[in-house]
Amino acid sequence: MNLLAITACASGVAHTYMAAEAIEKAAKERGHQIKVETQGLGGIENKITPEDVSKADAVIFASDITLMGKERFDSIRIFNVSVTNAIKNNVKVIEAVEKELNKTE
Amino acid sequence: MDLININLIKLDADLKTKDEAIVFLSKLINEDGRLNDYYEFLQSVYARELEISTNLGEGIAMPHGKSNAVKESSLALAVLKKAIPWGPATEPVKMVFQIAVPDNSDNLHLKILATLSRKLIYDDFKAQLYNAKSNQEILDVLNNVVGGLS
Repeated sequence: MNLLAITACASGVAHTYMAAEAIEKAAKERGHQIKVETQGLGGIENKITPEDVSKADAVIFASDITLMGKERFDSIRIFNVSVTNAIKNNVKVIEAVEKELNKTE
Repeated sequence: MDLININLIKLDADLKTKDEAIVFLSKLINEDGRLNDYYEFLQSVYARELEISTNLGEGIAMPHGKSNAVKESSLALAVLKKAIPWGPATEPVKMVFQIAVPDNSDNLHLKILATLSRKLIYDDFKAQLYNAKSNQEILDVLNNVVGGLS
């Protein structure tokens, strides 16, 4: 699958990047492509473009706060998880997304 | 000056509380000649700690201070003899990274935090630090990760 994700945490730094790395690692381990945007104190990094969205199957919002630019993803499936879940249960999160997407296809 | 050196690392640190850990690491940084004002720096670390606890989970805390009291950007690490409680989070802390950056350092502390945070989800990375037998071993591991940041 071709996945996207955005991570953002309340304090704006550490957990944003821990979640980004965890989701990216789990997705790659499961054989998927993924691009992860981080919305932290340092601003938006690795920004997801309209072209990325057009090629993607789904986006994972791993966030404890309101994300910027959610409207970019109107055309694809959205999965919401907490930052803690993204870090601690990263593989389960990806497996859950797989299961849901396979159901609808 | 390098962000981290062998003087800023303590293995098997016998520290019992969060305050002891913060004071101990601040002293290491000060004794290496990296601060203009030790007490002012300590205050900036505590002020930040009060906003949101820097206990990240995964056994790691990352207290940090950005202040004019800092002369040279620094990263110090204590690997604790015994895990200690840290802030309201339930997960005990086994390793403490302390970051010190001058006020005019743009986003350096964020870069350090971001880079280290990404590594902390890897158990093998943490194991390398937990199981290190010498300061040099730790220094080599950390230089690989944050050595390029400035």
